[in-house]
Amino acid sequence: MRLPGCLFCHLQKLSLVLGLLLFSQAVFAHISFADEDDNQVTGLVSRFLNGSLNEYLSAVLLVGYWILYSVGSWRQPPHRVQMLFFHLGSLMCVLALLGPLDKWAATNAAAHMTQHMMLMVVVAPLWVLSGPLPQIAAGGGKFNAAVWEPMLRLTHYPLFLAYLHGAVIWFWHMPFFYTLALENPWWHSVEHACFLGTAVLFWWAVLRSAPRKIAWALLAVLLTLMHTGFLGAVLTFANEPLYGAMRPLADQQLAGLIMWVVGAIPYMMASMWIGYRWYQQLLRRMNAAVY
Amino acid sequence: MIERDSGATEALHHRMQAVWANPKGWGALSAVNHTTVGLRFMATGIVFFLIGGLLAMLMRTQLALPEQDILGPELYNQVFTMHGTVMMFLFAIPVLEGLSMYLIPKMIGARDLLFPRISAFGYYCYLFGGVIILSSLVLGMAPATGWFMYTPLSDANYAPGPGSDFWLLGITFVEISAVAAGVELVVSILFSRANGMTLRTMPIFCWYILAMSVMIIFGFPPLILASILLELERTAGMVFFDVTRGGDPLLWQHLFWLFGHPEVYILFLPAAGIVSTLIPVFSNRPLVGYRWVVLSIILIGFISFGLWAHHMFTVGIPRLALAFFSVASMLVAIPTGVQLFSWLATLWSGRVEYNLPMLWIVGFLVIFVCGGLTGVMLALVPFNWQVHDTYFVVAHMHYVLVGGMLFPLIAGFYYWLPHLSGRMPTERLGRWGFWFTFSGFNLTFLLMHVTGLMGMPRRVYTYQAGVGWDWLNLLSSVGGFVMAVGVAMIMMDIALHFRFGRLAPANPWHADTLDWAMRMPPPSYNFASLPTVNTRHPLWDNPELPAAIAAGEHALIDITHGRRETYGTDAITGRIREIIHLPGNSWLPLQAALALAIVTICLLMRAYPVALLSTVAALFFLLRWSWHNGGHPRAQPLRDDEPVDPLLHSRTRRGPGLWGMLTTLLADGTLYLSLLFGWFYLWAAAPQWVVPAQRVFTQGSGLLSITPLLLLLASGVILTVAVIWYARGLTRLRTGNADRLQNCLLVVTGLGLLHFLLLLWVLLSAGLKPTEQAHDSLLVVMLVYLLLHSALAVVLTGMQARRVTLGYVSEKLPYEPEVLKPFWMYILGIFWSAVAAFVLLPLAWGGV
Repeated sequence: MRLPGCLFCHLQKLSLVLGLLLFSQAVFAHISFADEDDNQVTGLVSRFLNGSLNEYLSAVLLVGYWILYSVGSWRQPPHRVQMLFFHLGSLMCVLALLGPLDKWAATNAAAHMTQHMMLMVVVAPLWVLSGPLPQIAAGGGKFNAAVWEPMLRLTHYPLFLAYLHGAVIWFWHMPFFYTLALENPWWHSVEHACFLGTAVLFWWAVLRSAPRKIAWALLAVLLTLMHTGFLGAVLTFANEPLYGAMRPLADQQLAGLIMWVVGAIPYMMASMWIGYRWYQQLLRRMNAAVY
Repeated sequence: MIERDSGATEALHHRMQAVWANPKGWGALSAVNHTTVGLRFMATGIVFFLIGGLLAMLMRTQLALPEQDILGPELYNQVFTMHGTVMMFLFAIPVLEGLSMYLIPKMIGARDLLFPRISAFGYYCYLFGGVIILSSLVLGMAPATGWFMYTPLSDANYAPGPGSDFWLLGITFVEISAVAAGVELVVSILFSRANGMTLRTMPIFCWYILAMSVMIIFGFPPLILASILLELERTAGMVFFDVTRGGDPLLWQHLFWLFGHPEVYILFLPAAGIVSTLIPVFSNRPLVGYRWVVLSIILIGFISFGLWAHHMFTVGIPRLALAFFSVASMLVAIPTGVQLFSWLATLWSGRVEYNLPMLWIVGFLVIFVCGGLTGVMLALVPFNWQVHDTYFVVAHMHYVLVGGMLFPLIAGFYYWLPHLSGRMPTERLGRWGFWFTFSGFNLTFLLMHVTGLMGMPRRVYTYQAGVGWDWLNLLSSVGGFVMAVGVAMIMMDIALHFRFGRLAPANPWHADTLDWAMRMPPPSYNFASLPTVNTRHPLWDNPELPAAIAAGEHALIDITHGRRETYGTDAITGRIREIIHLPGNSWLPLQAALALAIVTICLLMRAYPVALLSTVAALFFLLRWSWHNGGHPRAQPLRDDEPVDPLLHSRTRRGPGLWGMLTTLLADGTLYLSLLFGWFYLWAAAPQWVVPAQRVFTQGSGLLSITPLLLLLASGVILTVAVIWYARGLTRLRTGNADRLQNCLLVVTGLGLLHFLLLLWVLLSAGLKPTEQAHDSLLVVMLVYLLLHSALAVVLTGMQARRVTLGYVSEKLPYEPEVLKPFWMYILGIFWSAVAAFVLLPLAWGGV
């Protein structure tokens, strides 16, 4: 059993190096892409403050998080599938936040929606499924636990988190706040942090719910499925551009459909999975009661 | 073979009959037994079917030759509208519900459905609603705007007569019965199966009916809401669909097809359930791929709710959306295909007996596959645009509905005839009937595809000679009459068999399910003793089972206490949880339905004071109904010799009532969500949507110039406190402490009343102008919706407090407060989400 374990360690190191490599590539590509047509110093500074700084910051945060996990998984090797989930999620996150989507999002509502949906229904559940806490704790020590502890307590209330997540989603889709986030990159980062943060909490609460809360978890997912569907339908059927008169209506319709139809798929899968868990659990409980 | 004493078996039968039998004479109207009610549903449905068929014959006569004037345009419009309405709402759904009501308890080994009075109530609603709708035809003022009542054609400007009102009110009335049946079937299938019958060993038919009932619960409320809104627009001048005042006619189409598309599958699923039941029996082998079929049933249920817009490909919804809906429409072919291949595989690998029911099944397979294929064609948007509103669509629809619903239904009728009458159907006349119907049907509707492709629009009362439609129409009409002859033969065959059919042996088709484990015709108690079932094919595995059941060798045979009893079991595993005592015969369903019928008629005649009075009467009967429950002397007062293991259900905390409440709330919640959808939809899509210049809720007015927003929030806070109070009272009750229960209930009643009054104040002081703007109309509807719920909760809680005094609710009878709790939670939920969607969201949308 020793040899495969060692192999596994090597794999992990390799994945860490690869991950960092990929990540730095993404960041550098982004930087060079952003700065290619700007020569004046003042312009550079203001552009840096208004545009790029927050991107560096979010990149640094992400990298920090990723390194933390990787260091932790060195010390405390996770399950292979879980590790895959985590790295996949992080990669998606990098793609969504620092890839071309972010650039397109400034003018294209559909790209912006894709970015949001990636954060909310791809990245967040992947991270949650990867169960990264042991690794992050191993990587970051006691300080981390102090951060996570209150958050974890919150995840005992799936329905509450569904409300919170829903409120955040609707809030940032109000035309006023939506355009605010588009015009000011700092607000944009805050928006993404809100989405990602509440999404992680929400998915944590529903995918890792305690057996007693599973009915509430199912309800929370279905509620989320429904209200995001409503929002998507509103965007699809709206007869004028909601986010600035200059924007093409077709973009907005596509954005709506992405939220409504494509975005529904993860929620549906989640509800089926939760339903299956519930069923299994009932079977177990009944068997235990009888024998 | 064990010798059984037939005398003892008969004695048990008589003891059971004494408690379970229906009253004779006029008293039969108070019967609540599921066999009786199911048969009434089916018989009434067949009468409506014949009427609908007659209307079709009228249309075919009119269209047989060009430029005829047998039916004028106005009458023709009435006739095609009524044909669709009668066939869809008064025949197809009720007959299938009736069949399910009749069969489900028998298949799952129960003695009755769990809410017998609801069965009877549903039947009377259906009967009265149907008669009201049909009376419009006799009075010559039938609806004439097509069975889907598109606005603006159906609004007060373009359809000024009472025709549309008949449709809207009558159909809503009928739909009460459908939703009631849906709730009852869901709860019965899940919680009253035979001991040991898990979800996996449940007969496949029950899966189909479960899916159908769930779909009814989610599918019907949008139409109920839409009908109410349109009726309010027509009579009270409110605005929802009128584009000039901020409404949108497309909202009607969305709501209608949100119902209308699932409806197709609501009709198809039970029929497919009949097919999946019959094919294994006549192939002498179990169904191939039971698990896959179950999965595809669930999948059909899901997908069908995402398809509604494919009925609206030509109304100008966004192109991109069309692509998504088109793909979804084709997706539904996958689960349907799974079932089809499962049937074919079962036939292929079995020893098939080709008798009369099988003949109809084969007819179904042929016709339904054709209908499915034209369905895939219609899912293609460009093709759809070409043939929209032509006879191609009519042909497709009839292939799907007649092929997918009527043929399996007739197969089912023939299959279960011996069950009902104890006699076998005749083969010869039945075969003639089949071939006439089958060839007549294909002659009529196969040609209609061509007529449609050649451009003949549907819903025209006549056409010019010489455009190439003449011979097609003539042949279609001939085919229609051939089919009518076939139907007449079937009717005759069925009628004659009651008199002349040869006596049926026990389990004549050698079936595998429990419905054949009883004497024929079925006794009203179904099973003298309730068996334990551990297999999917109880009668194949143990042919002795019927005799053993009748001889009382299984459970729950004691009837000396006079209770109508059946087992309440766990939803998943089917293990016994409690004994459910069912109410006996009662006049209350008839009284309540009658009062509601009077309400409907008064609304039609616009006699509003009388309508109000009879609403109060209906409410009285319904509340009285809820009063005669649990520990009430007319139900089951506490006694010393009660069973303790398991308990009677009204002595537990989770019985069928709680699940009935939850299921009903699902339907109610769907209605609420449809209303929210209407709000969002009009907001985003209505071309003339106007938000009132003065903000409705933040404008201080009236008394003390308190803003309605503040009142609203106060009302919400009080409601929240009331619900928390209620929940705490229940927690105490669960620990066996009922000391302060009455106090708690009284406090909640008081708080609820306060909440109600404040909300009423909001409605009155907000200065809403519902006849001017859709914005205000929707607000009024939402507020009234909240008010009605709050009022009902207050009354019910007050009644609970009184019941504590009378000893009908106590620590030994904690059942009813538990049933009421989800209702309070629901009200809390809808209140705050209404505040968020109707007040906070608009405030935020404009940028604070």
